[in-house]
Amino acid sequence: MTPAPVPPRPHAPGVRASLALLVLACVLPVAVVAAMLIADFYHRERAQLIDGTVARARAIIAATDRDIESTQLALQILSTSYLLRNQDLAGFHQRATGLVGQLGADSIVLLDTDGTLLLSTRRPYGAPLARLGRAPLLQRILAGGRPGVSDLFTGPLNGKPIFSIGVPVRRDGAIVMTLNAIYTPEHLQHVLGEQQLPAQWRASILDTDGRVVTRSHELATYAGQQVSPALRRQLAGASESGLESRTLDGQDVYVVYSRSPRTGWTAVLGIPRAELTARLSSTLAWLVAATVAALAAGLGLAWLLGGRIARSVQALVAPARAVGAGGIPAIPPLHFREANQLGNALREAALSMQRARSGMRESEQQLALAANAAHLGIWTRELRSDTIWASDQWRALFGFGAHQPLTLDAMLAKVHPDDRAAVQRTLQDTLHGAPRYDMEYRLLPAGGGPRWIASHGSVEFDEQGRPLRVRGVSLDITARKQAELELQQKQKEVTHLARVAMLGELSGALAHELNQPLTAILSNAQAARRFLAQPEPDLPEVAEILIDIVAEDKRAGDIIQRLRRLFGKQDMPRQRLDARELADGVIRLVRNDLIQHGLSVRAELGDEPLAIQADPVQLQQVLINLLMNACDAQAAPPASDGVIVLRCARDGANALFSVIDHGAGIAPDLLPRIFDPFTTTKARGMGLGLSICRSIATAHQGTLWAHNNPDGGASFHLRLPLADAP
Amino acid sequence: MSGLVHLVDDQPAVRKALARLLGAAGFTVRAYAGAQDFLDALEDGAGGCLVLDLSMPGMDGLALQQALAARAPQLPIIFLTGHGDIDSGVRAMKLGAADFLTKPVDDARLIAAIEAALEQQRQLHSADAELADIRQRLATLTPRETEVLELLVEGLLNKQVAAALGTVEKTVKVHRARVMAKMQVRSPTALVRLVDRARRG
Repeated sequence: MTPAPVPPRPHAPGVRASLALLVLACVLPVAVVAAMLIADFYHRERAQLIDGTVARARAIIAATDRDIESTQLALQILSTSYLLRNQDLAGFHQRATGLVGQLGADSIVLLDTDGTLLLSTRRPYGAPLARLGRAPLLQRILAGGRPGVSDLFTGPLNGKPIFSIGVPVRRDGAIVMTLNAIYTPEHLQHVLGEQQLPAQWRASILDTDGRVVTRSHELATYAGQQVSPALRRQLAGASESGLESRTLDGQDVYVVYSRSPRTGWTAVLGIPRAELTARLSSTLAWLVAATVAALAAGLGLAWLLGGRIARSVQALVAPARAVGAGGIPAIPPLHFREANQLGNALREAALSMQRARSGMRESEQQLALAANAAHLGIWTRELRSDTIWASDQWRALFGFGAHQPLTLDAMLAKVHPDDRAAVQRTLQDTLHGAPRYDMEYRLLPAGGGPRWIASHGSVEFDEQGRPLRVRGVSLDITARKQAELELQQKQKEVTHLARVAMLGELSGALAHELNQPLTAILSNAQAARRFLAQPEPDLPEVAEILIDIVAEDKRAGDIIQRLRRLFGKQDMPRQRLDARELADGVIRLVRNDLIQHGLSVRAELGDEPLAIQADPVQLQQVLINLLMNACDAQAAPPASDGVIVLRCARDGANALFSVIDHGAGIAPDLLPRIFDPFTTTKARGMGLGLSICRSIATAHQGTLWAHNNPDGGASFHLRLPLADAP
Repeated sequence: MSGLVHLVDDQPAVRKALARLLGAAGFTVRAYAGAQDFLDALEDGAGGCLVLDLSMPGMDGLALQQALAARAPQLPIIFLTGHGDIDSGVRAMKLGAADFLTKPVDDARLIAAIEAALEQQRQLHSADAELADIRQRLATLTPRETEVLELLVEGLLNKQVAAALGTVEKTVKVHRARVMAKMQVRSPTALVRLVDRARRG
């Protein structure tokens, strides 16, 4: 039976697509992980950079503070000058002018507490000066008594943005004036320069009001400009922080600042955002490039390999088809070891198929030869189409020509009329589930006598279990049938001879049986003569004697009749008879023989009649045989009680005869074959008795078997179906 | 002509016919269906003769003969057999059967055999009576007289008897006279014959 073809999967992927998927599955996760690692590294590096930048901002503001403090220290020393204490302002002007260069200041001015400009090194002493009014720095100094620094403001004398560092001038503990050094924004530019910042970075210092005091780039343009209010607001928060912002010259930067607690000024560093993300971008670009390259290489390789695998597999399709067609395929060299192995396997399969085919052809030829030699007709009957194919041998057997169409009716017409119905019934049964049949029937060929045919058929079923076709063989068994009939005849003769021999053994006892009525008859007759010889004969007594004589004579006649039947060569027809009567008759025949052996029979016949359909002579033969065997068994070693039981009882739908003795029993090695012919324990026996008994039992649809009794001796049982059994 | 005949045969028809024949011949017939029936009915010292079938179920003729050897040894047995079984016949005769006849049996032969047996029985019976008489006389002797008798039968003289018994001759003479009187004999020779007869049984 061929397995059903596997339906192709609707979207079975190709080798190339599968390999491409594999490459993607390998490369992409690695790329994602790498990207995550890179992002993590970027964030760490950025945080590090920002931390470093905050430190630099702090350094810038610290340097600014130091610059301012050193200026304040210098101014405080100057404020204690004796020239000032002595009101020698001209001298002080000269002294201060000398100090301006040292301090790197624009100028030094002395202010009255109400903001009146007392002198300025920018003007010669005595030149008229502007009145400045109470500036915020002046007020802080007067209020706190400590030095301070102003925010950026426009200088009244030169009109440029400037800032002022001031210290109080005390006289007798009270603040009488303030001494101020004026600086231009350029002064503080060195603080930024000292930090050696990258060129792209923007650095500036803002005053408390968010104005640019100094700047690393384009100071002239932006000095004094106020940063955006948004940035100002953010700068007002923590003293140190970082944030995204935009510089005054419009650059996107990351801003880091640090505010001085002393001056309130703020150092601001702007790192161009491009610089911050440049490395990340470039690394990511590398990663993307590497991923793309890996994917390209992987997919390319997958394409190449997939192509080769597909070609290798496709290259085997044609050879596989060739194997199916029965050829020996040529296997092209392939790229893969496995494919080559498959190719070799295909080739081997093809070779073994070819061998099997040639073997099959040979066995077909042998079968045909054997069928011809055995005169075996082979036929096949397709039940669906009701067509019959038959071999030439079969056609010859049934008398059909080589091209004559075959039908069931034509075939049945050749069957002997007596067998036709049975053949038809058997053939019908194959349509209704009978898996096989064996039958024997007669053919009536056109010329010659009837031929016996043995036919064996076997039904093939489809997957649903419905009969599909019947195959079979038919064989001429006429010779065998004749031999069987002859054998049956021979068997009959043997059975008869065995019976005669058996009765010969019994003859002594039978003579005795006959002797009894003869004795009674003689004695009765002589008694009658004596009665009649008396002077007054007792006639009624004589009449009674004559009745007895007649009865005894009949009895003798019966015995002779029975014997004649048993000796008769013809078997009697099967007839309905009571098993118990049969057993009783047998006991009568053998009783004397048993008595002579010092034995007796106990008949256990029951009350219920047991009707069987049997040949009485043959059954008597069986029972006599069994009883005589029991007698021999029991007589050899003197038996305990010398009683043989003949039982006749109902056993389901059967009558069961049992002959039970208490002799030596059957030797265990003999037990399995006592019913075989020529098995005997007797010195003079042929060993046919039990074998004939069994064949008689079988012919009566009965069984005959034996076993040893648990308490000694052996039992023989004969089971026959009751005549009225269903 | 008369006499008692016991008939044992298991076949009713045969038994009936034989009983009828022997009855017609003037015998008193007692018929039994089997050996055991006969043994059960047997009386001590029964007379007559036994007509016995050799082969019977249960106890057969020979077995019954053996049983009777102990219980009624004087009963003559005539065997009837259905077939001339020589072995059985020889055995039966050795065991003292009176006759052995085959069935069917002629009435003259059977009746002759029965009469011979009954005659033998009668003779046996009279011999038995004489012996019983002698034994009865012997039984009247005292132990001392019996001792004297035995020594006398041995052929000893009175003197020798006295020596053997350790007594005097005179006493022996008295015992001897008394023994002769009790045994009803006149001569020692007659005494010896009597004692010899008794001993042969």
